[in-house]
Amino acid sequence: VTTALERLEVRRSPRAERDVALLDLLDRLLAGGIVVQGEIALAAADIDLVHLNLQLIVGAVDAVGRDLRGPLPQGKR
Amino acid sequence: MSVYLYAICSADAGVPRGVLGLDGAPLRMVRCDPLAALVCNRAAATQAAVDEDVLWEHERVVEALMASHDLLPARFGTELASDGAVADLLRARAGELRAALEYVAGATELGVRAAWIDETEKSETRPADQYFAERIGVHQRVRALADRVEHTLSPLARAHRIRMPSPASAAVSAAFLVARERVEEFVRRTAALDAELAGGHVFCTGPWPPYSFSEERAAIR
Repeated sequence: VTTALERLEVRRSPRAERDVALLDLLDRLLAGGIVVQGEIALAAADIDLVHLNLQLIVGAVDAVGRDLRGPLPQGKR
Repeated sequence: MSVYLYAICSADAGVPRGVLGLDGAPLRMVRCDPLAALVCNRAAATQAAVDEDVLWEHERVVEALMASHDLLPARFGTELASDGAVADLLRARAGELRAALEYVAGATELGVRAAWIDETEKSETRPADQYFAERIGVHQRVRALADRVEHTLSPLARAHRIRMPSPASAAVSAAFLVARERVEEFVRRTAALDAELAGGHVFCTGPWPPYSFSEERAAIR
């Protein structure tokens, strides 16, 4: 388990680990949290995000599969 | 101009230091006793592209507040018309938001992912009935893995959600709401389960703000 700042370092870690962390982040930011009725305005509706989202999920699912065949450090983000 | 929402917390929380909001905008608190909302201004004209950095920076702001206060994270991209609209939200949903804050108080979210190591050779061709029998077998094994994760880790958590794997998926994804003082124990137990599992892997990510345990609770009230 790492702190937030350490977790940001994940962007400099190997691609597979980054994707796992990013997939977990996406799961939470886009599907979790408090929803204010009718007020989701900004980014979630952004076409760029939808595009990014799909790319990431496709990439990350594959990366999770790859990663799980090798050792993955506990709590690594 | 509009107001971009990060999280809701108690009114005594201060603005976290060392982090900035969207497009470098200063963070502010909109207070409506006994609740407050962490926000920043957002110029309507700037429609910045959302990329990986924007998502992590959003997360970083929420976690900076989480370091000192219990909070309910907002869904990414939540934007309100004005401070008045934020205050209206805090007032109108005060009861449910306070109940939701109480529910997550002193706890944090840990993500768990688990999968069997895939031993079948994907490129190998075989008869259809054999293929479907294998698919069903894989699905049953993944469900068994989900049960094992739940059985092993849920006693350490205040609440949990297991996303049951779809037939197409070979991986389990779960979220656990864990008291802060039990996080180390939870991580150790996950590592132990990983070591016990022959042919499979389990690992956790976090701690996260309680994204998976905010809205359902708020909606009940």
